[in-house]
Amino acid sequence: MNHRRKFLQSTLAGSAAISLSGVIPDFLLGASRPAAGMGREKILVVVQLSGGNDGLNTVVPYGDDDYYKNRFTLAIGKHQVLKIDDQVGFHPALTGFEELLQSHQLSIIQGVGYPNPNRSHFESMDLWHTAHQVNAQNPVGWLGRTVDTRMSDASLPAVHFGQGLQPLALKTSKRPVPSIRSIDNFKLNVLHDNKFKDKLSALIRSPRDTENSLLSYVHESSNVALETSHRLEGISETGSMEFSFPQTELGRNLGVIARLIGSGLSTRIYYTTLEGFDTHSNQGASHQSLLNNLGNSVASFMNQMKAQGNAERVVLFSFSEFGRRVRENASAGTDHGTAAPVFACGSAVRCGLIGKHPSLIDLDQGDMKFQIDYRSIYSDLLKNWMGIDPEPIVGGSFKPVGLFS
Amino acid sequence: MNESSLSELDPVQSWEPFVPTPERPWTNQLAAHLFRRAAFGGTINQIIAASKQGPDRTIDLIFGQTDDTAIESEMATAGRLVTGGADSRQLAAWWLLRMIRTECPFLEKMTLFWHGHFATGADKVMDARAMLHQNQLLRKHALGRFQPFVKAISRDVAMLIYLDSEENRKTRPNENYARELMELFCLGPGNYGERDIKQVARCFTGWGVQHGQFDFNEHQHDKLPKSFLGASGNFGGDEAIEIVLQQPAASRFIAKKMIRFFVVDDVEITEDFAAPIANQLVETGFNIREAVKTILRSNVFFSKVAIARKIKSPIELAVGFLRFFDASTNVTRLCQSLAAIGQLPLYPPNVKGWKGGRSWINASTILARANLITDLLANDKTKFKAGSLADWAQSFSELDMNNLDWADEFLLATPLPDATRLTLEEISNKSNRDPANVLGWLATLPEFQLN
Amino acid sequence: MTSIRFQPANRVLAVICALLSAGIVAPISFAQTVKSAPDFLPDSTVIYVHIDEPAAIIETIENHPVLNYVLELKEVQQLMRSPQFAMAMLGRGLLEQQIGEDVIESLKKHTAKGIWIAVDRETQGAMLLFQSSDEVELKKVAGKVLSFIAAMAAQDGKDIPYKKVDYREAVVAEFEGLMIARYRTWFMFTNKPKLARSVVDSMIDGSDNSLAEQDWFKLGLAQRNQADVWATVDLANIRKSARNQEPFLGRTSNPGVELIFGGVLDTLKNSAVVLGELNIKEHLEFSLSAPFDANWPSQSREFFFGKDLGGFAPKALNPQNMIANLTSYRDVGLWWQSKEDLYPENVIAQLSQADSQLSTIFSGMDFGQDILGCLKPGVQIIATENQYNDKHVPDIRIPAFAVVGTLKDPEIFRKLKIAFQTAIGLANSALGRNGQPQLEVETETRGESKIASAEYYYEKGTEEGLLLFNFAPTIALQGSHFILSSRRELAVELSELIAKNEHVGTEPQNTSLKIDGRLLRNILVANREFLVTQNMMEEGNDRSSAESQIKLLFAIANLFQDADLDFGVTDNKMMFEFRLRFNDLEPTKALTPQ
Repeated sequence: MNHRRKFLQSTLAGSAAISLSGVIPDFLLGASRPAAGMGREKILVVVQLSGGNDGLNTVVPYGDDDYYKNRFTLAIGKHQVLKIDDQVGFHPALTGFEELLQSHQLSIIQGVGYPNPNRSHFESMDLWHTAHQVNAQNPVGWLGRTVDTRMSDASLPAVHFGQGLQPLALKTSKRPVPSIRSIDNFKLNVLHDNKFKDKLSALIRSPRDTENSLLSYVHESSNVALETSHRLEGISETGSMEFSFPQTELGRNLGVIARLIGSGLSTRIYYTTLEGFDTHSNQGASHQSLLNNLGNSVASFMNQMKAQGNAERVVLFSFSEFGRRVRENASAGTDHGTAAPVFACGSAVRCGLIGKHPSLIDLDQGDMKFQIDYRSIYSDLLKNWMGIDPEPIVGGSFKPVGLFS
Repeated sequence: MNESSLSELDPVQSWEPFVPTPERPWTNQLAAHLFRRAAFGGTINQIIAASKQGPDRTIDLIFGQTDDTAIESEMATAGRLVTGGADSRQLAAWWLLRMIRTECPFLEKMTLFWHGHFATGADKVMDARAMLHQNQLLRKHALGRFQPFVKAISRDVAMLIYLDSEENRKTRPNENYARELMELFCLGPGNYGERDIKQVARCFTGWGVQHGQFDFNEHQHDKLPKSFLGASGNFGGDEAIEIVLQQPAASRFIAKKMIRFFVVDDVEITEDFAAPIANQLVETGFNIREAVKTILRSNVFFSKVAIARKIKSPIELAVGFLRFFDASTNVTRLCQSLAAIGQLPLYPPNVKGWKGGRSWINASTILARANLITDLLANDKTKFKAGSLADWAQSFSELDMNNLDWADEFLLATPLPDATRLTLEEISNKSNRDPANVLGWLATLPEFQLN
Repeated sequence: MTSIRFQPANRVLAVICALLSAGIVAPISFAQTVKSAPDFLPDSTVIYVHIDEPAAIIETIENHPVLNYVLELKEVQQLMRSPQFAMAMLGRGLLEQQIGEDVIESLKKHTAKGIWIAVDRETQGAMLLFQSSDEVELKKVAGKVLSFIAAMAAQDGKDIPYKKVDYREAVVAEFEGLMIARYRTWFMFTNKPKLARSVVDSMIDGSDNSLAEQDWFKLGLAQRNQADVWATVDLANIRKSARNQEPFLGRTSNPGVELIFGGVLDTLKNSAVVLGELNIKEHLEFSLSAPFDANWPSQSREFFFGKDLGGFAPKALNPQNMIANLTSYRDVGLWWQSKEDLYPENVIAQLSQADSQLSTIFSGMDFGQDILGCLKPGVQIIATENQYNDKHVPDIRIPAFAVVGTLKDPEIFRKLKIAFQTAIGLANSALGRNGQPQLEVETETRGESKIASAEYYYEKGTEEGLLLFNFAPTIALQGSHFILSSRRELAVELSELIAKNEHVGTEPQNTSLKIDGRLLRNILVANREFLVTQNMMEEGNDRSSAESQIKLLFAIANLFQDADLDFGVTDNKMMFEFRLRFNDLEPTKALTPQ
């Protein structure tokens, strides 16, 4: 190992220099967590419903006889729906959403989709995640682009919270967004209480060969992990809050997000996922429990935001990759479809229904035709909530839907 | 070379066998690279032996491994025993143990590859014995021919349950299996249409499960003619598979998937680049063994295009670490740690399998991956060749904690930056050169994550 | 190679020897008030253990076939070839060189007049006391051991691990967290210096309020039998310090604990002392006893003791290949009825909830009243080796179980049978939904017995080796005896035994337990492959280490012939006796199945 000896000779003070040179990041030198009162910037919380949520049994067109013809076993009876108006109503499990609607914190945007619908989970989800810009070796997500554009210098601009893989939506081209499963475990055990802690963190952070993009990526992720771990020090996952959250994964995740927002963290984008909406067979009970979980978790979250005094600066947005076929299948389930409603919650959003429910007769290969392009909603959220020019992010001009008017 | 593109490479030359030259000699590093990719990494002894034997002999030895040893048959019995209680998590732990203990790690690596390809989730199947049968089926066909493999997996009980084929009637064909057959198993997106899915689905009507076994219900089979992918006829499921695999896209799709698994994560694999492997597949009647052999002995496999250009999957991370030290551990506990970093065997996230590459790494998993190694080192159930790490390290003159040459040479896919290594050696000295500490620190470094 | 470093085992040995010989350097003083341990242990002593003749016990153990057997096991022999063991032996050799005699012989000599253990409430301290037969010898050995320890520490480059802190005429060395002291032929070690000082004071000055003066101690002493190890416990004072803690209030909020141990709680609540005896002879015998008063149990414990303490367990049945039999007087119907008196509100609520859930399963029969209530007092639980004959053999073999009771009215069996069918039907519907094999019910009459059983129905060849072949839930009626079993064959055998009135007679007791060591070991052996697999998966062992650990487990299991336990009460005494018998051991047959 010749090069090594040479290195030894030429830089006697090599190791000392490394450990002291500019590897101590700013956050260690002070400017760590914002003081109370700071961080009044607006926050977007995304709840992704994975698997393709059955929109028709979520916001039920109970005024439409064709609904009952197509949903011969799965239909929600006219008297069971939680009425929104004289045509549509919530699935009875969505009492949480009904409560949000009554307190003017819920916007229901109907018939959302995109042209030439793709019925593959993965491909459709990729489209939603990238705003139709999926064709690259390392595609970047729409929220990732948002972070790249506006917040690449911010410490911890966005966080994914949950057990699964990080959604493509958060993929950045620069510094990766951290995924957190558990705040309490978000630390390197080997550095815990170790006398070489600073030196070893410096080793992780010290610069790497930039020719290997994979190594650079892992290195960047390690840096973000160390930094995030530092920022989360002192925030606990447990402890009482004003509102109790359902004991479900979504309930816990939204509970922790509420805690992070409450702790004054400057993070502006939070992302979490509820799985299990791919209801091909025996949909009834499982869909009911999913919606119950969704409604109650989101309602607890919004109530907690109010109690923290953050209701005005938080919007929660929930979507799924597609809806399901109008006609139920032979297994008391539903197959992959197209357009479906999406939801936005918060004091700032325009309460009530936006857009018309798509026709159940005028179909395209058995599927509803979309009314509103999801990129219009993205544009609205970006322009009127995050305060950022949407066009470069969603890849074109889409008319906002009036979510905040 | 521009690493983001393979278009500058000559595909033919790339896939020709690697022949060591004075400029590109056969080294410990290259042998270690081969073991990391073709298996779960080699021990220091294996690597040294391989570097003496040369690439051809080493590859022949790897391909010569057979699963008729005592260990493999004991493992097969053990598989039955752990599924006696019908808990698939126990079966996942058993598979990990098999990967750790096996004498034909190449076969296990291939089995794992196909498990990711024909991904089936035990959480939905809810039948440990069916998962075990599928696992045996994957192992049996792992190095065989692709067409019989697809026909067998299409009859596999766990697969049928996983993709809802249980309820596959002629009035309501289940499109799920037909879709995944083309999208994920044989062709890839863009090589078929929605109409083809509906037609192929009709071919599989009547395929289902009765009393825990594959069952063809003739009365539920759609006997009318079908027409898809340019073919028309009164096809059944097997014919549908044959027609699908006759598509030119099939060999390209499988070739690309193998190249992605064995060679490189982060660059686009072009049609041209994959063409020699795809052509070989067609010419050999989709002989998997031969195609993998071409890949693993190729110039490009032993070039910087491939070396350290993959991220270790969680299983590669843990099993590779244990096998490097001839170690084993409490695999039930290891399963929990692996689940937390995204790869519990038998529990893929969805029918698409594990995404791999960059998706393994995020801020959370990077900490948890290092913590997993720390935990393995601290756990007294981790036995290093039946003893402690300190004893093991002492018996190995190569493992000098004062001079980490061995890490660059045998353990890591890419060398540590000099300054990093010097500092690490310095800290190691200050902490009595405790190998557990040094390995724990190594595991926090970005280099450790590359395969 | 560094200098000889002492392994932990050696250190322990060294410390023990030091303790044995602690105060040898003290000047011998004259005619002081030393009597026996109870005379100088403090009045706040709550636990007192006395070993009269330690040397005899050490000899028994030294010559015991069990020890020989264990030492000759291949796995133990292997262990004895390990470097750790060699280091320990080296340490022992060095120590023996120093003190000039065998460590075991030294131990026998210096404990010749007895060993005592005491726990003191006041100081929260524990004390181990030895009395030597030879004061001069003791003094010498102790001094040598202390200097040995000092020398070893010096060799490791460490400080001497003890401080001399002599107190009055006693010689005292204080280790970290441990104090040893010698006075005359006595030496002691304790974790609390205060306790050591108070004992030394009483040894020298005498005490008029020592343990010997305490009423509870006198009460215990009065009932002392000849035993190798004898202990008595001051229950009243322990109860006082554990105030408001559940078991000492005579109740528990755990219904399971109540069902098994309910009556014992009356003793914990009321009795002044508990006595313990241990005899180490050819076999092990252990007993606990306590004074008892027929007025102590409340009315609600009648389910446990029977009327006027007259409840006796049913005679034990003895089917073939019986691993264990627990027979007991318990009136489960009465237990259920008394739940309001026995438990706090929340537990009653939980029980009622469980009751209503179970009622659905049992086709509307009330679980407490109709099912438990239909049984007369007296239940036995039996475990036997499962026999599979030529049927499917599961990969994991677990024992067959049965519960035997007596029906107040045999007619009610028909209703129980309907409930059984309903429960099986419910199970089938759940199994069917999950694509699992379902249960097929068959009823038959064999002689006078009626049997309803449910066996799994499976497609040939699909379910090979599955755990479900351990189960065929069965109920049976023979005369007025009711049997619930996990296997049909066991139910049939038991009803035949009942019909022939074949029991194994023992003294009537409230509760008796018998365990057959050989059959217990058979179960382990039958699951050998599974145990090896588990060991590899949980312990990180390779196959050969896993196999040798499992072999060792079998070898140790092979030690035990059988064990039994009896529990009973009379008007004035509660008695709990446990016996463990060893096999006739021939070391060469050190067994391990192939």
